[in-house]
Amino acid sequence: MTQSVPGLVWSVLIAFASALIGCMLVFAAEASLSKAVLVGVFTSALTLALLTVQILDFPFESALQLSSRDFSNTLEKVDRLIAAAEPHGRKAPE
Amino acid sequence: MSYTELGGLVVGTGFAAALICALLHRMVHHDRFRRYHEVGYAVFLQLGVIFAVLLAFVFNNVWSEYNVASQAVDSECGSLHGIAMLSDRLPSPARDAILNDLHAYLTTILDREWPDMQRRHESRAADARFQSLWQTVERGRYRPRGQPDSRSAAEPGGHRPSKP
Repeated sequence: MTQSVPGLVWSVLIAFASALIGCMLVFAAEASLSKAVLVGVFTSALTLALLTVQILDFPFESALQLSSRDFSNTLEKVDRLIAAAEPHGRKAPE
Repeated sequence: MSYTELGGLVVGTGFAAALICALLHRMVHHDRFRRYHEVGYAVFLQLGVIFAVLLAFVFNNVWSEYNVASQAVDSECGSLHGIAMLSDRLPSPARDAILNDLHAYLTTILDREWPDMQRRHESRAADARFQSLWQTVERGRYRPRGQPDSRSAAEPGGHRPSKP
């Protein structure tokens, strides 16, 4: 249940992302608005990439969590098999 | 983290960075930015390549493990369905015992283990239910067609697998 990406790797990734955003901030640009939009989009893209890694690292939680539908379907099939035996005097589980 | 929270975080950090950039432009003169441009551009390219390679390796790793977890769920469901189908052909006492234990195990998975895993915990209850199911299979008396009454090949108290 623990994460597979070590804390050190996370630290390196976040440090690199911060350094890249910092480098982009010091770039010269004549139009400040377009530069602000560029930095904003770049930061959003890096954040999305890192958050996707974080989400995939924990498959049973977050937005991309694995569904328990397969187990529900299997339980329904087992229940049908149990119910099919009831007319012959067999007890269904509680 | 839901999709809404994810989107909020992504958009929020983008807006925050854009705001910082706009504030920097108001506070710092353009000429000062120009002095760092040459160095900043070179460092940006170098760091960008390293970051991209590192991110690609990490992403590949977590994506592979995500698929492994997904396949483990599929495999376990298929195996449990196989147990149910095979036990359905057994005579009544063994059939009922196995199906009832299977029902209890699946219910425990859905009600206890899945929420526990969402909280990054293991479920001892599901493990205990699986051991119970295994012991039921071990103890069962099976009578295949055309053969006299015989016990399972697995000896009681022998190898007990851990939960898949």
